[in-house]
Amino acid sequence: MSQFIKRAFGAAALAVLPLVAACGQAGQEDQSVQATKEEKASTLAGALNSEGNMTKLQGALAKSELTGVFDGPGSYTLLAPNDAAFTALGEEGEALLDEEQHPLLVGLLREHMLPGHVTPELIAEAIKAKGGPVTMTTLGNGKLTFTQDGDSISVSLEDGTTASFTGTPIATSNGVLIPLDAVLVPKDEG
Amino acid sequence: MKYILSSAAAIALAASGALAQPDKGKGNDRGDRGQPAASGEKRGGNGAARDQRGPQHSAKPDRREADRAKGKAQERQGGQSDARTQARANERADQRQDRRADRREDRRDDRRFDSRHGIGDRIVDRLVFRDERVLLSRDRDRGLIAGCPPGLAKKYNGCLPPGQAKKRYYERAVFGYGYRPGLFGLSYYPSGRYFYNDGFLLRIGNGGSISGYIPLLGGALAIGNPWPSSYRHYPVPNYYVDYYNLGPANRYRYADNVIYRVNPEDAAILGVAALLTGDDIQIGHPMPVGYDVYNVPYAYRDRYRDTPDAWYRYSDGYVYRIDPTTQLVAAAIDLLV
Repeated sequence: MSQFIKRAFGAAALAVLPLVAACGQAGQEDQSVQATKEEKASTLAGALNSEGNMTKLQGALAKSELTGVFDGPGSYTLLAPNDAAFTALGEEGEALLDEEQHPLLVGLLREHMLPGHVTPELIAEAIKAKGGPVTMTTLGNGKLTFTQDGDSISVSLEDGTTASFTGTPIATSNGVLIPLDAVLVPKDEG
Repeated sequence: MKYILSSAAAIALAASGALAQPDKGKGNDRGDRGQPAASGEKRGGNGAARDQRGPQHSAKPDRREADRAKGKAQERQGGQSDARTQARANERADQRQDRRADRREDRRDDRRFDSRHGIGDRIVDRLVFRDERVLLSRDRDRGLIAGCPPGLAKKYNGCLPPGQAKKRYYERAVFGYGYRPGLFGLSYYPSGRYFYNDGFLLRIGNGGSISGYIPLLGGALAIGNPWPSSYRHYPVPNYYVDYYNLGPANRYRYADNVIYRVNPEDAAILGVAALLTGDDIQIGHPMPVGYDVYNVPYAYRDRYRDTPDAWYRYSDGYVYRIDPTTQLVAAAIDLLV
């Protein structure tokens, strides 16, 4: 049994190593996945509020009744689009943040949420173990597919757009915050 | 290490029992949904649950049995339109819930005590688990609320069909595509032609008039708004009451995979306690698509770590043990220890 566990830890360490190595080389704009920073004394809500480049998401969440979820007993992973991601949406991004469109914004943010504690390192391990892209269900109505290309990991919304991990992920007591460089938007079903 | 071995042995025992009963998935059939409470009470599966959990649980109140009884009571409420009857039933449920809440503090003390002494996993008895799934799955049978939202009818001097009030209704979402329930995290509603207005999703029926509607999280179901009386809600298993700290039955509402906290006085929405995936996970069946990545909550990662003999995945308050060989869910584990 102990050998199994040692091997498991060994495999985990190997999977994480490239990510940690990438951290030292990566700038803020680099899409190389950075090592997850652990803030176990904090909650997901606390970690989100301490991020400097997520003011638009913070504002959106403050208006969207989801803050209680990130401060609660349940465990969630939030794929968090940064300010540049919302800015890139242009007028549509502005419209999305309008009060009248809150239900749509909440629905969109639910597609950015995963059940449980998921770090980029664990996603990389799963991709390696499976030998290809991996899928996770969301707290919305869809599924997300994660793909690794070298040191970067991208995520695609089922029948929707794609984003890449960027910045430093934060693991907290009740979930994980993984910064994204784009907002995941569903496509028209016709 | 001994702990891991003993845990694995306990899980294997439970799993063998689960896998030996291939008909358990029938709880997912729609035919079962109408009688969740009755079937659970007949089986009396809680004794088995206590046996599996060890002697430390034997003195605890049987909360799942109480939960099924409560579910049965509230199920009866769901079909009744008489507000006073429902209020009386709610009051009775609240009183029962309050009594349970008093005892719950004791149970939490017990759990802390158990944890310190390294007591094993809380594998949920498969029949009890099935009953809990049935209780939750009733929410899938909901339909749209018939007619037009009362607020809109009042605001617009009667609920005009969208063609006669074009500027008041959104036909296309921000990104230019048609509105549909899936955009709002809603899974169980029919497809069709939908409009959005004032926090509601409106379905257009034959003839172009509004045939039904859904109140939306962030809109009609925003913080501070009263719970729409026609929007059906259901009780959740008592395990969820404990896990998400929901309190008595008049302090929460469960609908469309969202658990809301509400003010017991006026049913005003106070916030969202939890979002659920709503995935229908059954012991002895394959895990649904969408759990490729290990996602056990931080506090439980040391205890439930993937090994060659067992994988663990988290969903909606439970950790599931999966047999890597068969890819079937072998056990559900609650996380209150």
